[in-house]
Formats: sequence, structure tokens, C-alpha cells
Amino acid sequence: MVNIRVHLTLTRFYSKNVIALDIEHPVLLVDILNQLGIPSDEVGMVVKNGKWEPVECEVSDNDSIEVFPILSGG
Amino acid sequence: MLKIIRVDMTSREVRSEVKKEYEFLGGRALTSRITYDEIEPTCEPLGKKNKLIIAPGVLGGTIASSAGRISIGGKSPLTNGIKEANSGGISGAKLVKCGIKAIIIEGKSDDDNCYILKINKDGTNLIARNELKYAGTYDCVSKLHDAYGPKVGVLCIGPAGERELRAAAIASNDPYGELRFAARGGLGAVMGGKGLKAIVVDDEGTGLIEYKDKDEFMRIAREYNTKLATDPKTKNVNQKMGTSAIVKAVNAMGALPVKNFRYGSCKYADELSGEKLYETITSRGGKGKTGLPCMSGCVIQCSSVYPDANGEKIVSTMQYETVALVGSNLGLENLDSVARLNKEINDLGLDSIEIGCALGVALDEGLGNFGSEADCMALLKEIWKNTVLGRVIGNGALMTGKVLGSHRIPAAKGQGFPGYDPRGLKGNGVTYAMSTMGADHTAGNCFGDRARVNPIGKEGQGELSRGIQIKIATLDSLGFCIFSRPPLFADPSSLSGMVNSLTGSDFTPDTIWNYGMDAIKLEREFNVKAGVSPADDKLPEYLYDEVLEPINSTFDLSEEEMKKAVIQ
Repeated sequence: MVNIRVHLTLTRFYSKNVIALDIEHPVLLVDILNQLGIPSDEVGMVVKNGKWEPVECEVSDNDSIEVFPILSGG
Repeated sequence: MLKIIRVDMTSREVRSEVKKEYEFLGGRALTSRITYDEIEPTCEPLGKKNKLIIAPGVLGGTIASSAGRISIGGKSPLTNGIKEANSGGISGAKLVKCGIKAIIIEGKSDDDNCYILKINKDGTNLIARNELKYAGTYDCVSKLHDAYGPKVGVLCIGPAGERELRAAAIASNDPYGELRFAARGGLGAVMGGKGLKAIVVDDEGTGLIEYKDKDEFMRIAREYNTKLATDPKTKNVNQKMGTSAIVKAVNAMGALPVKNFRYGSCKYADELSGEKLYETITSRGGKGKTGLPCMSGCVIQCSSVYPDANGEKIVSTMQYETVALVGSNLGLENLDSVARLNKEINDLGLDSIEIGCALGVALDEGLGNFGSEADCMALLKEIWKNTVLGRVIGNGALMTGKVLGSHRIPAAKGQGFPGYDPRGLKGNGVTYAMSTMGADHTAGNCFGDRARVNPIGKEGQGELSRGIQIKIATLDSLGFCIFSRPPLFADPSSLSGMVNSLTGSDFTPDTIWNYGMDAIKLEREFNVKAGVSPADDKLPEYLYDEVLEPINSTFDLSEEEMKKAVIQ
């Protein structure tokens, strides 16, 4: 099971902000986002298992992913 | 042409002058140029030779949204180098409407009077108002509204500035009488050292703004305003949560300051998040509000009023930096505690970043417990009482750390770190070390570019910091807020178009960035003459050895990488 949390403005593309997916083989995060209808060019940061990853990263079973939109900072 | 008001606090003379060579300058470009032209670089920052320079941005007072910020500059008593701190509020636009390009406060009052500078259609006057002496900023603004009407712009200092504490800020009122701050670098202490408590700007009955080509300006500005207003972030994020929207993201990437920058994330970040802020404000109701503008005509409207459980106002507006430095950095796990401390810090007239860093160091050295609002409040009370301990903390993180014997002082060029641990967002570490402003995220915040540059990677950080420093210094010069970035960066022709049609200049979408580039070059030259740089272009040593958990990162950028950020 892969858990994906989608934050802030990205939730307008997908109704739920916590998404649980079953995947059999490692897949690219951008492909998952495409399936969910979330444009990858609106993604500002991906954190996988507590560490930064590029949006093109590979996702495997049991991964925990957080996807944030582009934000300007405080 | 807009005029420059020169106020000599020694003789208490006020003069007005026009400087053709400053025709196209404004905001940071102008405060830094005047600092370079007029201030002796080696002068004592709190002495009579330093000057306080106040300038609205080039586009201030126009219909361009979010362009009314006010820049305040001079030599910083914290960094000993050049400083520009800018703030929202209503005074920037009002100064332009009064026909004023900049105010230069020079000299030093030699009596004990508490002076205010009153600006209106009839001119500019220095007036003694001793009932304001050592008044908190809220009381000061309230009394000045009572005296001069509810619509006047006010720039003022609190007791921290009057007592020349180096963490002192300058408050700026918004349309509702709430406060924003030109916080960084201790410029409130420079104002206090001159004997000036407040500036009151009344634009009632003043003239209209002159445009070179008004129709063209209005066309471009309206298009930009619409793009900004319809950006999904404006309505769904900024209006609801303000700058606090990034708490969860900074925590997730492991760059959130926790317990004096000992950890990069905490389990209670959700309790401090922008989402929680919005939920609390809307569920408590009463005086609580979100979506308020801090400048007239701003379409972003990121200000808020945070209420207590009974719906009574605690503070407006709790910012990300305050939540990070006064919240997680002090181990505080709820927004109510941060709000109460924030109100006290504002009322004293202090920079919440600098004082959050100083309190973090103090707690780390045993002057209280992390997570105790009462302990933090007790230390702030020492500042109110002007005790030795209060003066130590009120002089900032570095002073506090030196006195208490700390070897973990989160400061660069004498100034406390903003809410991004340099080991978790290395581009900001470069900005803290290499920029002309010291540890100041507003000089070049790399947070916005996390998609393409790994925040803890060794590559690309210098170039990233350099690029954003130039762009931000440009926005600082034109008067823009950081939240106005998306449409302006996507289409810089809107920037050059607005500036050209207002002033008659001939910038292109490429050369418009010279505002930032030229300002930073002068700033660096000033700093070198002041003896600040390049020997001070570094971060504290502990960041190179101590591993930041949970991301297991140290600050490990090479000198070569850091130098890529130098603009000279």
C-alpha cells in the first residue's frame, strides 16, 4: 500500500487529500499523478518517506508520499 | 518630481529637496543608494552619523496590487552592514500621494523629548509628544489615530526601539489599525537612537499621482491585478492561511527550526500549520477574520486576526516566520501560545525572528524550558522592565548567545536565522551567509524552487540563491510583496511596462532586474568599506558538524559553491 497526501491547491484536482493505492511494481510518481489528474508542473515539492525527492521519483510498496504545490515561502 | 524630505534630529530642521539622479529609483534601490551616497560606512550604527532612510517603492500609490510596501534602510546595528527591511501597511502609498520619494532622518536628538514627524498636505513638522514615551506600539498607534484621525499612516517604534535594543523593529499600520513590521536588522533601534518615536502620514487633500502614460499603465496594471487575483494560490491558500501555509511543507522537508534549531521537524507541526490557523479562526469566529488586506487595494489579502477561545482578538497577523521561530523553535506546540507571545513581541516593537532566535538560545542555555509559554513570557517581561537580562535578549540572538556562553547561536553576519534551517534548505544557508543582508530570508528565499533543486543537495545552491536575490531586490525596489511573484516572474514585461508607463524610463523585461543587481552591488561595496564582507560570508561552525535530524544533514557546501552567489 502506498499512501499519498496531497496538500493545499493541489486538492482542487482530486477530491481526497489522502490517497491509498495498491501497486504491484514500482512506478513513477508522475504517472500516478497523471492518473489522479494532478498536473506535475503544479507540484512544488515531493517528500518520500521523510526525504525530498524529484517529482520524477519512483514509488514502491509501503512508501509514504507528500505532494505540495509551488509555494513562495514566508 | 517627487521630493526628498530631510529631517535633522540634531537641529530639528526639516528640509525638502529634489534629486534628479534618483528619478527612477524607489524602495530598496533608493534606500541602499542613499545609504551608499550619504552614510559613512564605518560609522557607529546607533550614533549621529548613521541615517534612517524611508522610501516607498517605485510603483507605490498606484493601482498595481500589492506594490505599496515601504522600504526602510540604513546601517544595521546587528550586522554592522547595510540594511533594508520592508513592510506592508498603508504609509508607503500615502507618502507617494504626499509627493514624497524618501525621508532621510539624520543626526541625533540631544534632549529627552519623544518626537513624532507629522506629514500632511501643508508640509512636514517635528512635534514633541512626550505622552508617547515608552508606549507600546499598539498604544502608540491608537493614540496617534485619536490625535490625527483613523485613516493616517503610522510608522512607529515601541519601547525596544527607544531603548536602542538591536532586535527592535519599526511598526507600520494597515487599513484596520493592525500592525505589520519592517522587522529585520534592528532599524527600530536606529530610529530610537535618533529620538524619533513615530512618523504620521496624512494624505487627505494631497495631489494625484503623475503618470507618463496613464492609459498604458492602467491597462498593464489591471491585467496583472486580474492574473494575481485569479491565481488559485491567492484565494485558496494566501487569503486563508497567509504565509503560514508553508508550515507543513517546511516540516516535511526537515527544515523547520525546532528547539533552537536542534531538529528539522516536529510531531506537532499540524497544530502550528496554516490549515490549523484557518480552522481555528473560522471555528472560533468573534473578532477572528481571514482574508484582510494590509495595503489598500491589495487583491491577495493574506492578513488575519487570530482570536482566543472566546472570540476576542489576540493578535494580527501571525506569520510563518513567527510560528516557526516563536513556535516550534521554542518547543511550543499550539498556536494560542504563539499568538500571545507574538502580541507581546509586537507591542514591545521587536523583530519576532530575532527575538525567537534569542529566546531559543536562552532556553537552550537553561533560562527556561522549551515548550513553556510562561517561561518565554517571563523573559519578554524582562525586556519590558529593561533589566540587564531583558537588554541582553533584546539585543538579539548573537548577543544572548555570547553572554550565556552558547556555541550554538543560529545567526549569520550578526543576525538571527529565519524559519529555515540551513542544513535543511541549503540555498537559504547560502543567502544567510553571502547576501548583503545577513541571515535574512527576504534577501533571497530559495524555498520556492524546491521542485528543481534538491534542498539538501550540494549542487546548484549558489546559483539559485544568486538568481533569487536579484529578483527579490528588484521587487523590493518597486514596492511589491513576495506573494505577487507568480504573474510578475512569469511575465516580467508587466514589470517593465508598468515602470516605463509610470516614470518614462526605458526598461526591458531583461533590464528591469538591474534594479536588484545594481542595488546589491552598491550594498556589497558599502559592506566591504564597513568591514563586514567577505570575511563574514559564512555560517556558524556547528552547522558543518552537527547532524540535523531527521534528515541526517549537515551544511556541507564548498566555498566555491557559496561564492557563486556573490553579486559584485
